[in-house]
Amino acid sequence: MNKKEKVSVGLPDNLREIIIEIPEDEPKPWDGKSELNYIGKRVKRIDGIDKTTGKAKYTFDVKIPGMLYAKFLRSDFPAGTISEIDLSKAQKLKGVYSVLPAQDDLPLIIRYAGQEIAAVAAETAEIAETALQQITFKHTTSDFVLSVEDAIRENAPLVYQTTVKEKTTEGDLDSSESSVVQEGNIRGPKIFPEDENAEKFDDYLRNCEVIHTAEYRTQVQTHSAMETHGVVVEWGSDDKVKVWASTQGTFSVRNDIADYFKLKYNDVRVITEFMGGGFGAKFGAGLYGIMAAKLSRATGKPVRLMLDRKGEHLSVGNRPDSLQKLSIGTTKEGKIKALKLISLGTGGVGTGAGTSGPIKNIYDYEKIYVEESDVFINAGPAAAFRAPGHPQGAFALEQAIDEMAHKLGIDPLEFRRINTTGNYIRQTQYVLGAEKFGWDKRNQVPGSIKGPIKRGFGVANSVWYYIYNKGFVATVTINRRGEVQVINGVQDIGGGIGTVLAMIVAEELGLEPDQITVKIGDTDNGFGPASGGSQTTAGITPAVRNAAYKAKIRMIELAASILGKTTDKVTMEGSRFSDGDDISKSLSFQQVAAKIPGDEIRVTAERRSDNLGREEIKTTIDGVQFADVTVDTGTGVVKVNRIVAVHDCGRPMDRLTLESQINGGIIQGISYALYENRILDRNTGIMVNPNLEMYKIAGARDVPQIETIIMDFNQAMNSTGAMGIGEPATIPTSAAIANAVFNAIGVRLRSLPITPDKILAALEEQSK
Amino acid sequence: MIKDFEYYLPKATEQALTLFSKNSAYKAGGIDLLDLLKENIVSYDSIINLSGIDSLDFIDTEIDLKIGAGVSIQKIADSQPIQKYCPALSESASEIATPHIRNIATLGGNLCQKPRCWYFRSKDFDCSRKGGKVCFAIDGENKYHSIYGNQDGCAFVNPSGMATVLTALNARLQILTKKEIKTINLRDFYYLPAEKLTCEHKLNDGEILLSVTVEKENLLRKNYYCKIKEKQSSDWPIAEICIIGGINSLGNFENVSIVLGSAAPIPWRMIKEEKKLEGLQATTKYIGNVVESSFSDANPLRDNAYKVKLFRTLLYRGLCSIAGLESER
Ligand SMILES: Cc1cc2nc3c(=O)[nH]c(=O)nc-3n(C[C@H](O)[C@H](O)[C@H](O)COP(=O)(O)OP(=O)(O)OC[C@H]3O[C@@H](n4cnc5c(N)ncnc54)[C@H](O)[C@@H]3O)c2cc1C
Repeated sequence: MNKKEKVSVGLPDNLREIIIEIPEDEPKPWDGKSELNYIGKRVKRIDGIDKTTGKAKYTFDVKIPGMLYAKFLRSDFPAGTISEIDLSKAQKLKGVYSVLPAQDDLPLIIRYAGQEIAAVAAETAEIAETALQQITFKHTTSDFVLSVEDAIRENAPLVYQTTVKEKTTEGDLDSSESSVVQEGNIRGPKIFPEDENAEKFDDYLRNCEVIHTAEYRTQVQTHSAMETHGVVVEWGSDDKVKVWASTQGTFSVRNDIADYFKLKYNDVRVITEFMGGGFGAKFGAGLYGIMAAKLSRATGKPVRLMLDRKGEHLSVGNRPDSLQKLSIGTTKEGKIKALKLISLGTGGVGTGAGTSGPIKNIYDYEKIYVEESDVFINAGPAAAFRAPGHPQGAFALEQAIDEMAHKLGIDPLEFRRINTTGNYIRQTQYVLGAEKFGWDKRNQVPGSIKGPIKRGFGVANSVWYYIYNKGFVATVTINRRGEVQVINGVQDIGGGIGTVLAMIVAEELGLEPDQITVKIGDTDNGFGPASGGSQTTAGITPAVRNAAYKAKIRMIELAASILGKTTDKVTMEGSRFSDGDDISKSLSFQQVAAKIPGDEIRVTAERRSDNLGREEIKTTIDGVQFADVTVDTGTGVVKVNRIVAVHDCGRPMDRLTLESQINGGIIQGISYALYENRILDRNTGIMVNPNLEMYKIAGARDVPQIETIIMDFNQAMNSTGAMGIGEPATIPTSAAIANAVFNAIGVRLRSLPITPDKILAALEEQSK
Repeated sequence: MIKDFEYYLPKATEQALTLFSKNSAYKAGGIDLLDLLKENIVSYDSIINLSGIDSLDFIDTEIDLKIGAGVSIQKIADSQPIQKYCPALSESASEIATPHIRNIATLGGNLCQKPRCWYFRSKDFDCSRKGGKVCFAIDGENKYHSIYGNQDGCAFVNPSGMATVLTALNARLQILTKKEIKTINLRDFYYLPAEKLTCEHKLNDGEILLSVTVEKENLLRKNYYCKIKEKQSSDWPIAEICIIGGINSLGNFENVSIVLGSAAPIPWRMIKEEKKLEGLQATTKYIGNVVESSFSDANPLRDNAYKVKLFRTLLYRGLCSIAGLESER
């Protein structure tokens, strides 16, 4: 049974009314005219104090009596074969409980330096470490490749002798792929559009009035979350398994463990009370999770296996690098006709190096041609990383767009404007951003500022997508004391979803957020979303609001019976229930709750498909960022002074945590643009900076002034209307910075990270 | 894993001296020592903690500037006399690492710390400085390595920012040995790889660095210090310079001393340039000439030639600053 509702959709100053059809048991969606107490306001995290005082316990902090400490032995050579392993000496060490090989049967093929060989569980971390040194093995080494260029050479050593199937997680965009060929170390290309003919396309491109072609490079970035990957596994004597995991997908950990060990899903429980970041690399149990479970099963004791920082850099994910050849063809007036991208990238021994999201989804074009391939090298596997492929893609595309604008003599922002005319959100973003940033004050002629210290402005677009899954089940309870709980299995990756859930329930019931008990991060709490694809909020909030609404209806029914009225006569003001005919007769939330039969009201609601029977909703999440940088041309040092970020993400829930996501995305983007780089020793294949000292990450002094403009964009496609922001905010930052650097010094830096040595080399090249 | 060790916390230097036996190490703040222990680069039977010795923690400005080896880096950064008499030293101190580290780390530890070369610091590489056969940096990843003094089997850069400044200030070290208190010029303190490959300085086993003295005549002179880092938070320098000098009444350079940090395995003095500057009129043109002709003797590796350009800028800017001229570069 459906009901009809009239809702106001669009941007706040340009709302339209539409009629939508929604299920009977759901509330009218929040829309552009809803006046709300908490939603869309700035609400502090409900667990902020626990986190800052150390009361919050992360997986890293979990300590159970009798718990063993486990560690991995890793290879220190990048390619070879292990034919025999001798674990006996390690096993005999006092305090060692179990030693297991990383792979059940031999030979073990080593494909990167840092690959796991065996794991030890011991009474203390120190004993485990000592035991590792007692493990010996027989092995041969073989030739290896460490870069895309080397890997695609004829007769290059092969990383795989077999065909590799793409492994995807909830963090990756599309997991469906048609037959991709693998030849040598190259897996691909994937061609888009599939039926496009390369030669015909090239003819078309060649005939464009103005053409720009250039090559862009990005580096490998490791996730470097504060809390490393890891678990504590308690394998019970009843074969029930409890796992504390630092994960962004509690259910994916449960499924992996249950599948691997052939257990019932119901016998595996995964808990993530607090977690220190994931950025896309923490889905599933991982080898560390499987090994910890094996060790726990073998020893009958709880086992803790947290990676150290080195293991973290080497083995559990990174953002693939890229080598992108990009062409743009336009008319003389600057209308884009053709876009072409040939992209190679390496996810080490993993896949997922595609970069074509931005080029396919930002600008209007007549024709497009994309070829993208994964190239295997002897380095640790890639994993989904905050907007997979998009920062790389945007770095190339948005610089190419800038270069084209420059070639055409059109203002880079104007060039973007005339090529995104169909997207009114973007059109608005350009205006808002330019005004706040002061785009008109930019240096009109790149590099023209006198003196060694040069300032420049740059701009770049981003694109992401509205993604959500279905079937999440939220529970809301109200007990006889009037205590309210919201319950779901979703983990808080750090974005603050728990706070948002409290706000939603408080909003619906007229209470305050800190009156709501939030129980999340536990697979026993009902199916919740994995935090991938920026879908956490979009995924779970409608279910929570719908559950709170159902609970409210139950309370209204109860109030009606107490007041001796029919439900339609009961009005709700804040959390008070009144007799619509005689407002003086009213009941507090507690008074009504006290009459709950039995112990509590417990209702659940499910995340369904978005509302049907209405015009198509907008499914891209757009954004534009402006960067203001200073370049010291004498030293090559780039300083980011200011970033203005304009993003839409549906209806904002908690504006404070939302801004935090944007701040974090930008800071990570700056770090990617200027500092981060996984460096492999070219002669041995060993990473030389597997720490946070020489793997450089932006710190407090590197953070500029950040200003955000969040566009409230109501689509009322479900009861909350939330979309995602975690990923979009990091996409355009590096490109905006690179464009600002060009504006400052008049030279293009087409390779990340933009470090002083590269700036100095580029300036020298230019002065020749 | 860190091997078990005896741990001592003496109250006086003499006591520390007698506690020192065959495979002992002194610990001051421990910032460097503990890192090395944790990475299994070193291991000791006993560790003698010097941080309980009050007599190492003083700053004295009565005649010369004398700083105890146990003074924390933050104290040096905050000291008003140091800010006044040799601002380059307090600037360099304030640029080191993070506030947390500066509060714990000491002057003595800063001068005596081991190389930060990533091959040296990794157990995975049996490099020449650890007694192995090769320097992996020479043909490897050498962006952060030396451009001078790198032809003798090791290419690390001296990591100490304060050594750069104190070398320019011609500081002297007071060292307690079993027999006496001896004095060594900081300019003679460090070994080049050609002299010794596995040892960086002349402190013999068991000797305690007591203090560092900058003589009166080198105080209150013109100071220039600049540290260039890739990122501004807690990063190591990619280039560092300290210039101490003067301009005489005729407007000529006089008694200038120039030292580069992150250029060589020791604080790298630019003696040739110092000589060229002596008596030279302090104009941007002459400074430019000196800078142009400098660094021809540098030996950059594959990935660190950029340092030469960078040092040129720093030298030019530094000399302009000493001369009170506006730098155009
Ligand atoms: C992230 C990071 C960034 C850093 N950045 C910089 C930087 O930019 N510039 C810079 O200059 N430094 C930098 N440092 C290095 C830091 O300054 C040194 O590690 C620190 O000063 C060491 O001092 P300590 O007192 O802790 O020495 P310890 O670790 O205690 O000792 C170091 C060595 O000195 C010896 N020693 C110490 N005191 C005496 C004494 N009185 N007599 C005899 N021997 C002694 C010890 O035996 C040991 O061999 C950085 C360090 C880190 C971790």
